[in-house]
Amino acid sequence: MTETRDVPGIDPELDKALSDLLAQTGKEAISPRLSELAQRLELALAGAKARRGGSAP
Amino acid sequence: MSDDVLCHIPALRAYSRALCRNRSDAEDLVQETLLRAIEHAGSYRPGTNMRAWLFTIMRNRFFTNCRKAAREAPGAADCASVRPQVGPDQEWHMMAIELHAALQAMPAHYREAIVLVGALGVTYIDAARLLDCDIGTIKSRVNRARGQLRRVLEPEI
Repeated sequence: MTETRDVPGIDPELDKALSDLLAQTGKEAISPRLSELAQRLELALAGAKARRGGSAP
Repeated sequence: MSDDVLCHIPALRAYSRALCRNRSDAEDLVQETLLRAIEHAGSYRPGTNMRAWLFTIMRNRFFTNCRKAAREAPGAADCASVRPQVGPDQEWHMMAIELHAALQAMPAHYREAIVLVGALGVTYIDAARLLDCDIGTIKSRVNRARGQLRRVLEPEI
């Protein structure tokens, strides 16, 4: 492998075009279903964390 | 990296669209990912990279769906990894149509790499872990994808 660059930002304008992909999805509305699932996941994660903390010596 | 799940939704959407053929499938994949994450919440280690954890679940789910589709309809597998996608039902209206067309026309493994690293800011190391390949392979895929995008988009950028 000859590629050694670690910094992807060598094409600023192409990078901007790509980062706009994320910016655009960030503008899209989050459906009630997704909001509900996100909330359920946060609760599940909090529960898992509490169980882990509770089982610690 | 935040543990606020909602803040990861845009990145999950962007990654799912790199994997799936159309926006509807991509949205379904985001939901399936969250459902799987709820089932396996105990496997997440607080303080680690939640987005990478969710990406891994999404990718695994995607390939599970691909295998299932292949079993149910041999010859009709709808897997991004096995064929490039230039479907007529692409609804991405996110930005320049040329970028979407170029992304969709490139091999899936290039698209996945450039979206993760170039669009979502995933590090090469994390991308290598996620895609289960070495870092040199990721760098190569990203650079080849960049080259393809640059050639297609040169008049615009």
